[in-house]
Amino acid sequence: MNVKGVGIGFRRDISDFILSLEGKNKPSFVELAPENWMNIGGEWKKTLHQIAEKYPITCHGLSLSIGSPDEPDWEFLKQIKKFIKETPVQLYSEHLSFSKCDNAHLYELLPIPFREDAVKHIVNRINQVQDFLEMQLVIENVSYYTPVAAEMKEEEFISQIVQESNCGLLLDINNVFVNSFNHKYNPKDFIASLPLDNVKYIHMAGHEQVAPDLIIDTHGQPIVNDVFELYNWTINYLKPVPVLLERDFNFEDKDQIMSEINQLKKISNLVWKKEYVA
Amino acid sequence: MLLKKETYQIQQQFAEYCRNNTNASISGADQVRIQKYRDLVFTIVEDALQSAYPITHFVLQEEKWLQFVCDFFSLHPSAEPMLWKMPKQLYLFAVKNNYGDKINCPFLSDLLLFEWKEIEIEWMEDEEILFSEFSFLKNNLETIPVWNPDYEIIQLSYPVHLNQFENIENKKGNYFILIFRNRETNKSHFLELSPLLAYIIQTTHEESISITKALNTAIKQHNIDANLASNLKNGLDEFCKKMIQEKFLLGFN
Repeated sequence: MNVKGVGIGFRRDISDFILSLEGKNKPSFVELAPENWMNIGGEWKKTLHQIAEKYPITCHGLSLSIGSPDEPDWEFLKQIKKFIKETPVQLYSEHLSFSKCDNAHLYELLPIPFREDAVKHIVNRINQVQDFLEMQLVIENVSYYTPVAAEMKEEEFISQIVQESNCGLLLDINNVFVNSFNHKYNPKDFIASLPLDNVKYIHMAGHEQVAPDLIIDTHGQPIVNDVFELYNWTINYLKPVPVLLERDFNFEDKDQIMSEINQLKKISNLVWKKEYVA
Repeated sequence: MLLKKETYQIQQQFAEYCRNNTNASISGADQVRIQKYRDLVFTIVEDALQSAYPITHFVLQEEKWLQFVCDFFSLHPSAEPMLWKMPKQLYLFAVKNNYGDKINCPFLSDLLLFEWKEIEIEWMEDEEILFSEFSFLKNNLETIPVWNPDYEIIQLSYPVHLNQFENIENKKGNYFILIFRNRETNKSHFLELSPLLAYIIQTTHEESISITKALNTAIKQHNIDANLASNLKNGLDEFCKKMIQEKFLLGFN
């Protein structure tokens, strides 16, 4: 099964709903966090088998901590590799952030200092991971609320890492929007400066404005029109890639979630024509 | 290492701040917005722990619970990459630091263990059944029982499984609790066992021997008299019938 079209994040709260979708309403693929689904048995293992029979699967990891000063966790990577092979997983992406330091996990995505030495360190780690997994890693631009000891621009930091490691880029359009608002830059200029040939995957999500000058990337709200507009603009500069709707909570209004998927399909069809979305 | 010492130290400081909530002065960061990270990190950890330990949270009540979580998160580095498994670290922290004694809650470690095991058993990888063929047709005590392999027997000092905490400090003893996952419903169940039953289940499972053989070993080891031994055998027969109903005993080989 190849991954293309518009998919949805697979969360336990909506597993029955996603498994019940058929025909036009059926997303093209689902994405799951491997950390929540590997090394398990019982009911959820059965659900994983059901979902793997019905949909192509992409994985979006949470704990690789590619920007960590620590050594890669090889035991964890061994488990990831096994999970990717067994499920099977078509694409494995992770965050350009760190979530672990001094062997202590923080379970949140912390921004890495945008610095030359961090670029070198991360390129080396991505190469190690790609060699070990025997597949390309796809790295996501993350949202962040403050830069930390930055010595270069965020877009230079991302571009250098992607180009030097030849990894894929997961372009999270909502994250670009959130960051452009929080750090006062032009999101289109930002996107235009990225290595767009390396984009292998797109994420779309909702966010919440919590202060006049601060937006939090929650994945709990509908996608705002400005982010849809940015998506429409961006994909004109990209080859067709799979697009994912990320929603982590607030699942009550299923019609609204479906309408977001349909909206993404509609925009993708218009821009990418029939070569992409059914 | 390709990372400069200075960059490493900044990341270290940032991570430490998120864990300890002290010294927010991170080089080159917005001193107000950096607090968002501490909030986000702590909320994720506290939510995961509260979901895993609802009874402990209820028993300790908010103030003690939050202090417990703060102490755990700042003092105990969690090397667990999977968030759903992270709550086990709270139990390990409590045991290592005798935390229950510190907060005058001597049954704390038992309660955490009991709550954690229910999750662990429900989520554990499916164990293979040792025997390819088994049935209920054979003499149940003379042949090897085939137990549902998705189980664990834990030993507690306080009867936290009864969910009655008033004067529980006065009920210190040895409590053996069987926790298993029903293979049809995939839910975990628990049952208090006598020490003899705990021994019989473990021995028959680990050594692949019959219940009678395991019982005879116990009788010899503890010099149990003939009348009591006969009663025990009858009791085991009843226990097996009950365990078949509960889907813990799958059959006999």
